[in-house]
Amino acid sequence: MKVSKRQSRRTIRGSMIVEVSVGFWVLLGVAFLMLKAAGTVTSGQRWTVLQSMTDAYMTKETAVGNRWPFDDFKSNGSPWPTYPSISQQTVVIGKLPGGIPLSATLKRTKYPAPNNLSGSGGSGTSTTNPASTECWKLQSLLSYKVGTRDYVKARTTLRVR
Amino acid sequence: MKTRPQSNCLRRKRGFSLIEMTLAIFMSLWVASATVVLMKQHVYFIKAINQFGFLRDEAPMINVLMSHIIQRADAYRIYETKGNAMAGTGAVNTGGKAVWLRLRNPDGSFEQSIIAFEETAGEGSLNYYVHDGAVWGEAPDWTISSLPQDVTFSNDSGVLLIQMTGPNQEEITYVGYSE
Repeated sequence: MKVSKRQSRRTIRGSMIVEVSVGFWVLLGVAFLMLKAAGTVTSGQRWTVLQSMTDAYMTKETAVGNRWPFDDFKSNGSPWPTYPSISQQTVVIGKLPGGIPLSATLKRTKYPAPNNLSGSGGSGTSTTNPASTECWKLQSLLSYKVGTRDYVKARTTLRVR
Repeated sequence: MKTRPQSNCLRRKRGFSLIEMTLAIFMSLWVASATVVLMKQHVYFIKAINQFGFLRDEAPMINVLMSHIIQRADAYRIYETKGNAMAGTGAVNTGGKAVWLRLRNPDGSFEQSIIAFEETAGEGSLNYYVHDGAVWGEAPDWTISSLPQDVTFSNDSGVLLIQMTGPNQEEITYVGYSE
């Protein structure tokens, strides 16, 4: 097909708009990809930081569970009520950059061992448990959210006397 | 001499029209502004990543170091200042900036050390001092970290708690395992 000179020049001159438009859309595409990458990296990082903070908080729960006097956690005002009772409280597990507090829900409960004597929540007798051994399982559950997902972290402490 | 017709010559020499130039400048500005936005976004992204640096990298490392030291101790006491810890006076349960540790050696003898948060010229650092058997050193034996802006020791819940504040007001609390 024969192309006239005028048509040919028009094609060359008009190509600039096409080139700039393509450049712009490529730039826009790169920006979008970078935004997605940024989102992926920051959400992954947030996840890691939250795991680290919740792990630190649960280490405290384990330490307190081991440290709390036996008679105190068995008393009526115990922070670990006997199951099916469960205590629930909102706790601040730390602060994110900018001093933003990070809250989570802490639930605590305790279970007696089946062989505990009847006065200690079990069904054992002096025959099955002649040394009157008492065993309790203290359980702490921390619920928190990362993005749209809910997480629960549990720590169990065994106390025997 | 043979010359080309004038109309042809004029056509070839003709530059861009005003509309074309305006369009070209407008589109160049368009692309340039998009590039600037892209750069700003990238800088913001890098800044956001760096802000988490203390909680992500430094705080766990400090915790590992402190845990190793504190787990070796068979007794600890919390003091408001390093001076009080060295003098052994005015122990507190909360709001401490120094913790004195007694470390038992394999031969049954004891050593003393202090972990203290100190501020010098507005810069905070978490330092470790060792008692040489006669006196405490003037300068710290080593610095655990100079990134925390504040470190507070307490044991009002029955366990040794170490609360660290980072350079961006971030906070994390760790537990020392010593009795």
